[in-house]
Amino acid sequence: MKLPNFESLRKTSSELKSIILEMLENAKSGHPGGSLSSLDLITILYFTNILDKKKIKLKKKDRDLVVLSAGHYCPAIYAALAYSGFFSKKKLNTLRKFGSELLGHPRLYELPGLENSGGSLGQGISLACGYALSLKRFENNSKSNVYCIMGDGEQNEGQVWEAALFAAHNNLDNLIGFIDVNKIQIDGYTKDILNTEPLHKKYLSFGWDVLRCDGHNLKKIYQNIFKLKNKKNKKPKLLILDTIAGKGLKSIEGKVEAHGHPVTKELLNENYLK
Amino acid sequence: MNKISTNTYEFGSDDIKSNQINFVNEFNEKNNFGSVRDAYAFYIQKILKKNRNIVLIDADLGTVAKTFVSSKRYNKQFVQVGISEQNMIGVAAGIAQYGKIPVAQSLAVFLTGRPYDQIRESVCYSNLNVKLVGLHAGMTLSPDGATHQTGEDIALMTSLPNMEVYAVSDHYQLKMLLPKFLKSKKPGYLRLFFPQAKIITNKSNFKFRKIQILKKINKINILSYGYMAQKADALYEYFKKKNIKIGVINVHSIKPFDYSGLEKILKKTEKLIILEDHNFYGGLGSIISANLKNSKIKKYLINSNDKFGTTGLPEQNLDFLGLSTKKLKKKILNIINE
Repeated sequence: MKLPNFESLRKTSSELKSIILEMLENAKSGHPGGSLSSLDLITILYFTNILDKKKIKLKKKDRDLVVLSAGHYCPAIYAALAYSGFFSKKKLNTLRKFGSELLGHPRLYELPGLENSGGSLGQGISLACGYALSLKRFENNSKSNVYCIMGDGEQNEGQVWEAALFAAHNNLDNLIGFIDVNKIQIDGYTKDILNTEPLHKKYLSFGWDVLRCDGHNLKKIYQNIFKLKNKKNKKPKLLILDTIAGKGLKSIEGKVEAHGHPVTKELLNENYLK
Repeated sequence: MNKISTNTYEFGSDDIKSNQINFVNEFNEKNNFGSVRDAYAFYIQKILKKNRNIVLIDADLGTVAKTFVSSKRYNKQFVQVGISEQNMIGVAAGIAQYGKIPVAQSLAVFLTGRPYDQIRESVCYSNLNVKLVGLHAGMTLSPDGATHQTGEDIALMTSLPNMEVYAVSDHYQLKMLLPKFLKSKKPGYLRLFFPQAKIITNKSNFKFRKIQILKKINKINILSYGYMAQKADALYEYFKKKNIKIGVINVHSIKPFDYSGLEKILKKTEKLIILEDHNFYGGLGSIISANLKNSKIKKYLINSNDKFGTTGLPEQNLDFLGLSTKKLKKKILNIINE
């Protein structure tokens, strides 16, 4: 397996981080917590050979699908889509502004590359199941996969577990779920609000193939996605990523406030010392 | 209520009696009388055979929908999600995004209420072509009680942008409507009802999304849909014998609604009764009476009037809600004499 250049990917991730913070600062609202905790995963997805982006751009039925179930992570997806050529980077500074396609939470078809509407949590994984099932049923020997990005707070939603049963029952080994375990949700730490751990044991018992790693180690993320992708064992796949909410914004990193903390000039100066 | 024996209940017409609650008869489209659920099972099977893009999704109610044969025969076009309506809607959205036409079926109450948020975001906000078929809607699935009845589905589904809402009044209308319902590219909800019923619509011309005049427009007219259109037909017959003629208008497209068609008709009328086995709030009556330009017409809304139903035979439950033939006769007579 030819590995990508992880140093260069690290630079991409840092660059995207700056862009996302700029977007959030300009928008005066939004969610830095998850946008930054999931950024390394999103960098690996969009800037390596994991996705067949050509097919995605052409909207081929037999394409890889990236579903952002945790819709509030959208600044990271918007930035990644713009920087991987789905739409103009100039649009990025319109996030959350009236008339912009970069809506506060994503809406299907508003922008090229967006594959779902998201905002109400727990829904993306079911849509991902529907698409993965369609690829199995209606495409012959499709090599495409469906990727679904979820949060750990999102695991509170009952629908997620309905979908987890469905995916295993239907042998959807072309479905690769991610849980960005940044350990926070709006009102507090996930362990205090409604504990969802041990997530790997829960999904294992639901019949999924599960791996877990540091969600900020680009090499490990990449290698684990490949491991899961290449296993055709009739089991849906899950990669659990242990991450830090608001990663990179030292003053709020890992704190509950990171979820929807306003990204102000002061906060950026405090953390960046531009 | 005591007058109604437990093994006999009224259908749309006073003349028609039956002691069957579980309908096991095979559907025959040539019969003048039949269940729209059986008709749905019959026609959806034909459609699955003809159109390989249709995918039927069931949430463990294939026994109720009578779609077992379809699910076995066309298994590539069938998805069983189990008792999980929220996931069902998401799976349907994914199948629609792939490019197939998913038809998600369940009891109307479970289909429209429980996954309302999923229908809102994954289907309507995304404007995905997902079709919903709500079985046993309204107030006539009465032995099961109010948990299984639906007086809210029209309110819920019409409130969603992009959603189209349809209802059928007999199995002939279903035959006409189902292919067109499936052909529309927008999200759609189709309301079916439980009891057997006679064909009341075939003599009129069916025009998709247009209202249908079933009985000539008069000074007093009943506008209705679904099982209550059966009641309207029975009421017409009853008053005809008393030399009072009332018009009957049927609606199969609740959203979009044929306002221009109705406005035309209303020029010739004085009183309009909007009859439905649905709550007042968000029902057809409240929707269209708020939108009618012609304000001279007196409008009378007859519905379940913000009440849950109860357990019993369909006619008993309708009586409880003021919607039995007996109660409707009284109500209409009052309107006539007013």
